[in-house]
Order: sequence, then structure tokens, then C-alpha cells
Amino acid sequence: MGDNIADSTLVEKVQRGDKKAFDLLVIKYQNRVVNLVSRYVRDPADAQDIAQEAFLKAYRALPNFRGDSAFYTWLYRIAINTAKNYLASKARRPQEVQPNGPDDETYDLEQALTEEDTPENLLLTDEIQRTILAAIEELPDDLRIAITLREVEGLSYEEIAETMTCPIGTVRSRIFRAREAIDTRLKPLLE
Amino acid sequence: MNEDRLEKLSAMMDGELIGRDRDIVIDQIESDPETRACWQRYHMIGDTLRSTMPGTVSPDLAVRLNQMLANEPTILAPKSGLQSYKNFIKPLAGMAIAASITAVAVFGIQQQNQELPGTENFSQIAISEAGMATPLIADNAKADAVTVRTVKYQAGESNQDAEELTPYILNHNQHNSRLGVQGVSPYARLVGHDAN
Repeated sequence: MGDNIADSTLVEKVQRGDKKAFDLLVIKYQNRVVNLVSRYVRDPADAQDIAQEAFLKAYRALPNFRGDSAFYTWLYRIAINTAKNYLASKARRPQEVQPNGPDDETYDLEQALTEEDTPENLLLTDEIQRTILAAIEELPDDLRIAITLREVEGLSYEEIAETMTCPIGTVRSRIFRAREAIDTRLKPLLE
Repeated sequence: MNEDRLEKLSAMMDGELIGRDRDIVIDQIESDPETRACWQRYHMIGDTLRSTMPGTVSPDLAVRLNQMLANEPTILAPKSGLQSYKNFIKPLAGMAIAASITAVAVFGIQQQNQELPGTENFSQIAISEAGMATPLIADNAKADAVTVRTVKYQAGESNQDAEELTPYILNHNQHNSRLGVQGVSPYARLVGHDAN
């Protein structure tokens, strides 16, 4: 079992007309897709727009998705193509004149920052990451190892159980307790 | 939310929950905003650990997308499931290939047994050119279905040559067909020679 099973369950639900199931896939992959697209475009707002467009394209193309590849592999290709198309169309457009360019002494930093790239958002992102990493450091070894093997190494519960020489039920419990411990500190930041 | 539900949510996101429990958890995420937020935070933890968090987090992306999807038509894919589709299509593809090969084979044999334009059944060969009054082969030899493409001799050719060659060629083909050895003879172009 693994991510692919969970994804194909959600994909099947979307294909049967359950739009909300697609929301679960968006939440699951939004950060990964935005991060991927950010390699192609510098502007965080553009990255968000491209990611949004990619998800929309994926939704429209979902009736043709037959599960020959993993859902994320398929989504990844859509996101890359959307980013490349964006860059190609941007290259065709005439350059916009920026009256307050970076070389201008009157350059206004806030003007350059887009809706997504606000200092608040940058601060929040930094805070989220620091909180999560600090919380992981403070976890007991068995919880930290279990969640690291799952999230970073991508091992299944069965493989983790073999590695840690414990029952699968214990692995499931350790991973959950690790998530809960981190979430307790993360939740206040996002409320 | 109670711990049991959250533990199932955790297992579900790892693809380690099956059956009815999985469906219940999915329904809960879809219907309960608190569970949905938890699903989002749990994935945020994973993204941070894998270093796949973007420089700027936008918690509103999914919300905005939801609003856009509200205007999209609902998907109703023809297939009920990916796995069942795969299980169904593989043997079907094999059967389709086998059926195609059979069809080609049957059609090919039928074509082979049909007379080609300019050919005649062996028993119907116009042997008048050879100056013979009666057919050399009995009608029951039709079953052998050997065909011979006849080539008209040029005017003024020697009837004597034809008289010598024709019985030999006909006997040879009859012998082959009765033995069931067709080889290339059905396709062979049988010709005599022009003495002039």
C-alpha cells in the first residue's frame, strides 16, 4: 500500500462525480506543485497562478486519466507543461515598462511584492517550517524515526515495522503521535 | 475530533487504511472543515520534512481553486474504477489481437481459394488451345481447388509445343494438390515457351 492507493481512491471518487475529493488531492499536492513551478518562475504569485491553472487542467483531464502512472507523476507533467507554456507566452509578449524599476532610486519594494509574496506570507512560511523542524527535534527517538522513515524515505508501514522491529500497529500509532505532537505546535500558527 | 478518527486520518494519508474505514475518513475530510484543516496541516508537515515547501505558502490556493471548480461541470467518467479497468482491458486486448489474427488467417485462406481475375479452375482450363477435346481432370478434382493462371500464347505459336507441355503441367499440379502440397504452385504463373 502507499500514496498511490490513497490517490487512486480519491481519483476514482472524482471520476464518479465527487468534486470534493479533488479538493483533498489539491491540499495534498499544492505545496509540492507550487514548489515545482517555482523552479521555472521567480515570482511567487506567478507560481501560484500556474499551480492553480495546472490543477484546473488536471481536473478537466481527469476523465482521461487511466492510472497508467501515479497521479502525482501525471500532475507533475501537467504542471511542468503549464509552466513552460506560461514562459513561452511571456516571451512572446512585449516587455512591460516599469516606471519604478529596481535601478530606480524611487523603487518601491512593496510595489514589487505581489499578493502572495507579502512579508506576512514570507514570515508565516518561515515560521511554519521552523516550528515543524523544532517540533521534530523534540520528538522521542521512536516517533521521530518512524515519521522520518515514512515522510522522507517513503517506506510503507510494513517496511518501517521491519526496520524498527515492531508490529505494524505500533508503527501506525507512532507516526500518528508524531504528527499530533507537531500539529499541536503548528495549529496555532495557521488559525 | 477523537484520537481514533485522527489516527485513521493519519493512516489514510499514508495509504494504509482500506475498505469502509477509508471511505468514512474521506467523507469526514470532505464534510468537516476541522478534519480538512487537519489533513492540510499533516501534509504540510510531510512537505517540510521532504523540503518540498515553497518559499511562500498560500493556504488560500485550495479555497480559490474550489471556487473555480464550482463553475466546472461535474466529471462522470465512463469507467467505474482504474483497477477494474486495467483488469478488464488486458485480457480484452489479448482477445482482440487473437481475433484479428484469426480473421486475417480465415480471410487469407478464402482469398486464396477464390479465383483470381484471369484464372480458371483447373477443371475448366480452356484446353482448346492445346487442341484437346475433353478435360484432363475429372470434376471431383475441383475440390483440390488448384488454380492456374493461364497466359494467352501469341498468335501463330506452335500447337505442338502446347500439346507437349500442357498435359505435363496439368498432371503435375493435380498430383501436388491431391497430396495437399500446395507450395507456391497456386500462385505460380505457368507459361510455355514460344518456339518462334
